[in-house]
Amino acid sequence: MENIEFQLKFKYTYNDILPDIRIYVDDDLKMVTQNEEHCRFWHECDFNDHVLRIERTGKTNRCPEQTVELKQVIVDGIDIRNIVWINSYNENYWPEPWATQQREAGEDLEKYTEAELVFGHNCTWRLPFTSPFYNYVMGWMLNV
Amino acid sequence: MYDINKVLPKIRTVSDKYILSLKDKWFQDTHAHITWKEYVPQAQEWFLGSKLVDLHGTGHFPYVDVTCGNTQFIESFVLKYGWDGFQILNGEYAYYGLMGKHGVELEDLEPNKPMIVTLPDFITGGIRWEWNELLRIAEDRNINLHLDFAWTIMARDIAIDLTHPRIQSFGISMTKLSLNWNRVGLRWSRQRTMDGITILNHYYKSDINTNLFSCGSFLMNHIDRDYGWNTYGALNKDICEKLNLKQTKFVHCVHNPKQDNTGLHCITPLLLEEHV
Repeated sequence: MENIEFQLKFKYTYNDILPDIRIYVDDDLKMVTQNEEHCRFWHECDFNDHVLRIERTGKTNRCPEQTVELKQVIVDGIDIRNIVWINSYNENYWPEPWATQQREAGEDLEKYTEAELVFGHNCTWRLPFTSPFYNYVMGWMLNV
Repeated sequence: MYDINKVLPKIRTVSDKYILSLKDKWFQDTHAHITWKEYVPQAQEWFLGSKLVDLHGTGHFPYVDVTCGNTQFIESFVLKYGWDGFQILNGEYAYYGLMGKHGVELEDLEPNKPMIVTLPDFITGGIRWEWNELLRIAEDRNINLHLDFAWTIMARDIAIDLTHPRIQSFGISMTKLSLNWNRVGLRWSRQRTMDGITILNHYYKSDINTNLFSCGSFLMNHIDRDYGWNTYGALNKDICEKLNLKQTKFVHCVHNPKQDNTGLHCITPLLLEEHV
């Protein structure tokens, strides 16, 4: 087991309705926020596979000006930007009725987008990783 | 009779003939190549094998890495947390002050900011007088402690309980045995993190710094872990008795009650002069 520090930095853009952010490691809910720019928490990880997950909700057709951007991910003191740019992915929840209209027009809306850090609509962002984390970073570095 | 004028405020390591002869031997003879994998268990056994220094709870620190001495232990830590990202107490190792890092009093320690503590320290020549209070504050303020045990190599009667959950790592080195010419030590961590030492030790598995390990192994084969006190203990006692000096935990450092009962004074010149 290791106790790892996570720091996530967000930028929020909205008119008057705040987005909802829920941050998980595996199934453990670590933080719930709407406008905290710097989220910091610790998690006990066993030496196994894990997933850092951000559920972004709160976007409706009534609040078109609402964007959340994940600016930085720091794990165990390491800014893992390059890992995030390659290994993270976003599960898209396309807005209706726009999504149906697009599909009917023959557009193929992708279910997942790699390394998408600007959450314009509701989505679930994931970053799989393994623990011990230093070993994960080392392995990633040597395999790139 | 010993010359009190040779008890000096400047601390010097005990570079005696035997230690110096090992340097000559290393450079003149041929030696076995020792790998990182072979060196680590040997060095662990050697460093932790002291009969005079009791480090209790080392089993809580399963991650062991080779260092180029404790200065690298410090620098790797600083690389991780940044020069402003850690704190030290007053009366610390001069290295920090030379680099513009100043210590604080116990009550001024910042929460959540890791710190390095040198034990034994250079004022008492033993465990810092506020050690137990520091542990309590570290617990209350969530301050992780990283212990610089560089000088335990020359110490005795030191007992430290490492099971305290805020103690995250500690480092020991051979350097203070007057082995500056081959600075080698180990770092023990409760949890391994990515930093300079971790990266280097990953690469040490190949043929990198093999000379460091080979020489470290050679020195450990020829020097008893408690060499300082075992060699100079009786002389230290005699010098202190004759000159009315007060012993410290260090074999080469004393207190001189006539001058200053808080600062350390060095008896290395007398040890080297009188040792047969």
